[in-house]
Amino acid sequence: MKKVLVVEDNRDNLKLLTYALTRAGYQVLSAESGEVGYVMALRYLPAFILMDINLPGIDGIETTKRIRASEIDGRIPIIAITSFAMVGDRERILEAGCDVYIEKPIDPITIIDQILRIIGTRS
Amino acid sequence: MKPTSGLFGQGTFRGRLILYVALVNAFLMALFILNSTMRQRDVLLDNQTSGAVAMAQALATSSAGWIAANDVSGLSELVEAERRYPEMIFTIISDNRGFVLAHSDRNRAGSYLLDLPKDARETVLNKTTALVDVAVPAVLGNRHVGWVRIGLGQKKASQTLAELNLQDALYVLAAILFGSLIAWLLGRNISSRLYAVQETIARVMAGDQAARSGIRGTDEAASFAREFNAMLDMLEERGKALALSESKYRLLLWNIHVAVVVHDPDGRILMGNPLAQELLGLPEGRMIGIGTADPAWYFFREDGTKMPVEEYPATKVLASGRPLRDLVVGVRRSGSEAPLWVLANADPAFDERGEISEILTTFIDITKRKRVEEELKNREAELNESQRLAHIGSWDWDKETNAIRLSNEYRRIYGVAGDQTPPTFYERFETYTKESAKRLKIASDRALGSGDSYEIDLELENPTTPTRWVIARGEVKRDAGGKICGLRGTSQDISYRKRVEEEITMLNENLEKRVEERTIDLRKKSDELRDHQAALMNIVEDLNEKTAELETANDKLKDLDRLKSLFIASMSHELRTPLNSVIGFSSIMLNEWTGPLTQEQKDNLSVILRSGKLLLALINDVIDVSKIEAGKIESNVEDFDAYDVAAEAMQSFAEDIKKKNLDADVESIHLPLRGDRRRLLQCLINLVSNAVKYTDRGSIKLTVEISETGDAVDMSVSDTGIGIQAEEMKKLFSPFFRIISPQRPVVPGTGLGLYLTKKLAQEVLMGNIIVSSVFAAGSKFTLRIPLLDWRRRI
Repeated sequence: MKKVLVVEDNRDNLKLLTYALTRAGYQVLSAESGEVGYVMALRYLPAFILMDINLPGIDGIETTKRIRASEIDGRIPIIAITSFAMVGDRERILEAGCDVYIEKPIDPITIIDQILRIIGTRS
Repeated sequence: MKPTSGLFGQGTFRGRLILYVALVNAFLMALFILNSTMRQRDVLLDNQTSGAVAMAQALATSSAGWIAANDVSGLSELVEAERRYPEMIFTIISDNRGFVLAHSDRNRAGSYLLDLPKDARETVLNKTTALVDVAVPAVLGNRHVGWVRIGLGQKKASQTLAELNLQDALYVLAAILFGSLIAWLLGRNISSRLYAVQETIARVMAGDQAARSGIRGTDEAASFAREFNAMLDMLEERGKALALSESKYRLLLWNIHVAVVVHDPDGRILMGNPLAQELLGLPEGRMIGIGTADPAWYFFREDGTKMPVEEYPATKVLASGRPLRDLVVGVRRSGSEAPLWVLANADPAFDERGEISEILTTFIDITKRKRVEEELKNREAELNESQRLAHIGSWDWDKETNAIRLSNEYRRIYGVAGDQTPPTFYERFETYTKESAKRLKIASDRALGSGDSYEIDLELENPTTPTRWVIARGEVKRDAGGKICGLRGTSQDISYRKRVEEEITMLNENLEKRVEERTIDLRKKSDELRDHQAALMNIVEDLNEKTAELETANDKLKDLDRLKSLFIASMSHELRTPLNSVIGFSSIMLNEWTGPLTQEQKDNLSVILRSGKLLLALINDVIDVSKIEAGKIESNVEDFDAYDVAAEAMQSFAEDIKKKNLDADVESIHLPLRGDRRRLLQCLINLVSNAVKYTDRGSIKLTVEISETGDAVDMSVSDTGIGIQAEEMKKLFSPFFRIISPQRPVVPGTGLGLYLTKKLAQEVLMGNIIVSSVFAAGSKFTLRIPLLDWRRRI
């Protein structure tokens, strides 16, 4: 079963994403902070990572940067999820190493198809 | 050299010689040939005649018997035989009466010959080049039986003659050519020697004075060349002598420190030395030949008036024939502002007939002297003028001679007339009051004794002039050895000053009084002013306070604005997060991921989901509005096609349109655009959303076309909905305005849609929104975007 890492501090959101991912046939790994997310990403090498940007402690951008700096084999697709982007956020997020950027609210019915479509075209 | 006459007088020697020889040659040769041809022709004719006679005699002898026998056929044979002779024209045999027995032309046998000679002798009937006609009697025994007549032509002989003539003509031609050749050679010999002399002349004329002709020999050309050389030698000698004397003359003129101009008797300049050239401001090349009245310069008189030409030195000498001495003349040159002053002297030179041949004019530049003189005159005038202005007179006394010199102003002050003998040194004392005279005496004596200067005020007694008071200043004069030899001094009229001093004393007293009065006045005014100033200061202070208050208020406002921004930013995050859950979980449940639902549960969940989505739309609109109002909205520029955007906007409502059973139509051109696609789509979606909301029957149409003016693209959404009343139209774009229709329930919406759409259209898309509507029939909203920025390419 393919693993997916969700880094998200909001439990509701995490649950929503878990519903969608499980239904699509993924095993969901979750982390509620950037530090944990970073360790898990390198430990489990998931199929892709859903990364919330507004995290306590080190934020999603910094976490993405660290993962990208430590990766050895291949490149894990990272999908950034943010509630509200200010001017310049999009550039910062993509610059840090995220593959794509999805704005909240997410639609659990369509989000997985959306992600796979984007990752599929990338790889 | 003039041509003497016609053909033979012209051309070179050589040419003429050739022509003469050729003509003479041709004439003589022609005569000779004519003569020889004629003689040859005669000889040939004689030969032919004698030939014809001989042939006729032979035929007569042989034919006599036949004639006697009247044997015509035998005779015909004889005649026939004769025909072989080439030059034969005819052969006739007749009896002694002239009856033709045989004829070379057979047809004529039987005719009579009428032109036979009377005597039976051989006769030449015709002797021309065309025909030699002879008749010979045929005699048998002693009986004259008939005639033989032969006619010969001269064809061959003529031919020979023609050939001979041709030969002769060739001889003549050859003779002419040969003769001409000889003449040419001869001519060349003569003319080449002449050319050599000519060449020498050309060289001399070109400036080679030493060129000489080198012809040797004893002929005329050689002696001509030698004499010519001798003449050149002589000319060269003379030229050298002339050049030497001229160079001496020039050396003298060129180095003399006087400007010299030589005129000819017509007044034109023959020569001018460098000083003269400088004086008249003309280079040598331009100076020579110009007349006295030349525009390059003019003279003027000492008084500054222009001098007429008749008074010019050269003109005067020319008229009088006598030298002119020491005339002071001003010279103004072309291109030069400053005039020169010269001392002009002019002398005539006479030729052997006693007439003036040249006029020698000299100019000495006295400009400097003249200037110094003028300067002195000016100084004196200035001194007098300044003494007059300052009321200072001066005097100068010599102890030895007791002579006293008084300036004009001194005379004026003391009333001494110009022609009056000045008073002596000591007489002057009497003009003052006793007291003043005493002081002056003491001061003068002390000065003469010790050499001290003095300066004292003196009062005049019974003055004849307005002067009453003077300041007398004096100092000693010393001779070369330093011994005191006299006094000199000035007297300044200070009557006016004294008078003014008195008046001032009086005025001062007055003034002090008035000043006191004014001071009191001023003090009052000053107090008033101080009061006013204090009042003003209070006002300013008040103003400052108010300003400070305003600033505080402004700061508060700014704080509030920041707070508002912060609120909106956090609201966006804080509201969206829970909304995310509301929308997300309700849609999961509605999709029965968590288990099957009853219809009632489904309906209720749909209400939750729809409300969540409406709330999210409201938040998004509020954020957009606040961004626009804060001027912080960002624009993402993309390339896209107008059609795609229109289609997407309409497609978003496909489900609602289907549900309401409306006709939807997109009528769009394909137009490449460049701009913020997302915001354009947002505007169109808002407009289509409104159309769908307020239309229950009929159709919704989205058209995209180039505007009538051609510089914008019009995106119009028209519907057949409820329409807008005139009074609602005004408030249509205000925030939170909703159309209230009694016939229908309130349509869900944020109330910010049109407000936001108009803001976006104006501030992000740089366009506008135009509305037209018929109440209860439908509306049309047109989004007009100028193509200037949006059109990428057409």
